[in-house]
Amino acid sequence: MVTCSHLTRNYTTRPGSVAGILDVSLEIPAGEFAVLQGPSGCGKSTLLLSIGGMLRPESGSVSVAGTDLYALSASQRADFRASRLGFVFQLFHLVPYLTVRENILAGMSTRQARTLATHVDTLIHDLGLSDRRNAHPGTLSAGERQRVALARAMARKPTLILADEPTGNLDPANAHLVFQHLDRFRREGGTVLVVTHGNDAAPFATRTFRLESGRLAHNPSPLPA
Amino acid sequence: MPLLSLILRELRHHRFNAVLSLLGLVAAVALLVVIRLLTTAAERETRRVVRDLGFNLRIIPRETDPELFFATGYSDKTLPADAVQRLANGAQTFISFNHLTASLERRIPIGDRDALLTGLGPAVVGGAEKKQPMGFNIAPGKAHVGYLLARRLGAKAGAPLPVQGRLLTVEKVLVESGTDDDIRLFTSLADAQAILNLPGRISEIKAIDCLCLTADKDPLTQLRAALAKLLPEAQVLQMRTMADARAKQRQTAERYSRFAVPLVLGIGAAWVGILAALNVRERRAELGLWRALGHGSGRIAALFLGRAALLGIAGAALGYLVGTAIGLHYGPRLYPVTAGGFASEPALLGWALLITPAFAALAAFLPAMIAVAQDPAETLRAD
Repeated sequence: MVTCSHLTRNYTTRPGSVAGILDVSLEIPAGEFAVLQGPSGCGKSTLLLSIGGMLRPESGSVSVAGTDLYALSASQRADFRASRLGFVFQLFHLVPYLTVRENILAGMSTRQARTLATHVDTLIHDLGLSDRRNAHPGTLSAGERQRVALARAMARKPTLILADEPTGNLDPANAHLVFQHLDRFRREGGTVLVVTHGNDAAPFATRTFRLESGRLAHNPSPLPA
Repeated sequence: MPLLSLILRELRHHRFNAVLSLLGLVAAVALLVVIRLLTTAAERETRRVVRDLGFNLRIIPRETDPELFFATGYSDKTLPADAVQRLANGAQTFISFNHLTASLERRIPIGDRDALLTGLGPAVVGGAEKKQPMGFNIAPGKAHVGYLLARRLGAKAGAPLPVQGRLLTVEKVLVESGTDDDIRLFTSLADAQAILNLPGRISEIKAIDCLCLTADKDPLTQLRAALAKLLPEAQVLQMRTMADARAKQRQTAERYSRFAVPLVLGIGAAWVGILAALNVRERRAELGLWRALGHGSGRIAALFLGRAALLGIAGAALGYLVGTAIGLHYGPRLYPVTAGGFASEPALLGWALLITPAFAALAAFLPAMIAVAQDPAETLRAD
C-alpha cells in the first residue's frame, strides 16, 4: 500500500529547529495498522505529510496504492488525496463555522455528498455523534471533536488513513475509542498509519516503526495479530 | 458544499473582520459617490454662475475693426443669420464653445435720444449636446427695456412701445445693471432685423467657451483655428477675465477630484487588503485542512477572492445608499444656487456594483496568493 524509498526532507519549523527525515525507506502492506513512534521533533509528522502528498521530499519517492505521488501534478495529487487518503490531526482541524455533519462532508462536491449521505449518517451514528450532528465544533468536547475528524477522514471511503498524534489531546478513554475506530477501519479493509510519541496505539498495531533524529531506528517486522 | 454557502458561513463566523471590511468598502464607495455628486454640483453651479455673468466669447464679422467694435460696443458689419447654425453643427465635433446666441445690434434713436437696439435669436447648443440652452428668448413683438431707457420713456410692462414705425409691447423692464444694458432695448432677432432693415443678417454671435482646455494650451489659438474652418468670415474675441474665472473654478474642481479619488481608492484598497491578510492569517489551519482534503489552488483562491467580491457587492450597494443620502443632505447647503439640481444618480449604483467587487477582489489578490502559496505542512504538522 505505502512504499517510501530513500526519503530525505529537511524541514525548518522555526529558526534553529529542524524536523527532517533522512534516507527513510519503509513499506506498509495493505490492511496493516502501522504505528510510527518517536520522540517529539524526530520527523514523524514530516514523514506522514510526505506520505500524504503534502510535503515534497528533497529526494526519494513515495508510492501509495501503486501511484508515485510526487510524479503527479499538484492538482492530480490533490485529487488523489481527496479520493484515496484520509487525515486525522492532533489539533482536529475542524472548520469552526460548519456543523458536525458539514465538517464530515467538507471538501466533497454536492454530488459526492449526496452519494455518500447514508454512509456519513452511519459514521455519525457509529461514532456516537448523532445528537451532535448540528452542533458547531466550538461546543464539542475534545473527544467529540476527534471523533468528528475521524468521521471526516473515513467519509470518503479512503484506502489509507494517516493520523498524526490523533490522541495527543484526548483522555485515555477517548484515545482508546479513537484507536478502536481506526482498527475497525483496518479490519474492514483499510490501511492505517498512526504517528505517535506514546505507546497507547501499541495494542492495535500490526507493524511498528521507530524514528529517531530523522532516521528509522530499526527495520520493523509485523507484530503477531 | 457550494462555494457561496461556504463563504457566507465564514463571513458570519468571522463577522468582526467581515464588518470591518464591509465598512471600509462602504466608506470608500460612499465617499466616491459624494465626490461625484459634489463635483457635478460644482460644475452645475459654475455653469449657472458663468451664465449669470454672461457670455465670454464674441464672434463678429471678420472685416470688423476691433478698435471701432470696442469703441461702439457692437460690430457695424454683418454675418448671414445661418452662421449660428453652422457653428452649432461644428460644435458637436471639435469646438469647445456652446450656447450660441445670434444678435443684431445698432444704435438707433428712440424718443429724443439714442439707445442701443439688440435683437436676440434663440440660444442653440451643439447637435449632440443635451445641455439646456442658456440665455433667454424674446418672442416677436415683445421688448425688454433697459432701466434708464424705460425711465426716460416712462415704459411699463404691458405698455405699447413704438420703435421706428414698428409697434412692440413692453414685456419686461429690466433692473438697473450699471452697464450699457440700462440704455438697451432687447427685441427678438426678427424684430431687430425688420426695424434695421437687415433681413437675414446678424452682427454677432455670443457664446460661452467651456474652457475645457488646460492652462498649457492656449484656448484662444485653438478657438480661432477651429472657427477658421467652420466660419471663415468671422473672428472671435474672448472676454479673458470672465473666461479665466470660469476656467479656474472648473480646474479647481477637477484638481480636487484628481486628488481625492486616488486617495480614497488607495486607502480603501489598503484597508481591504490588510483585513484580507489578517483573515488569511487567522485561517491558516483551515487552509491546510482544505489542502489535505484535496482542494486545489483555484478553490483556495476562490474562497478569498469570492469573499472579497461578495463584500464588494454589499459594500457597493450600501455605499451608494449612504453616499447618496449624504450628498443629497449636505450638497444643497454647499451649493445653494443650484440646490434644486441635486438628485441621486442611479447609474452610479450600476458602476459601483460592477467596479467595487472587482476592486475588492484586486485588493485581496495578494493575501489570496499568500493563502494559495501557504505550505499546509507548516500548520498541520504536530512535530
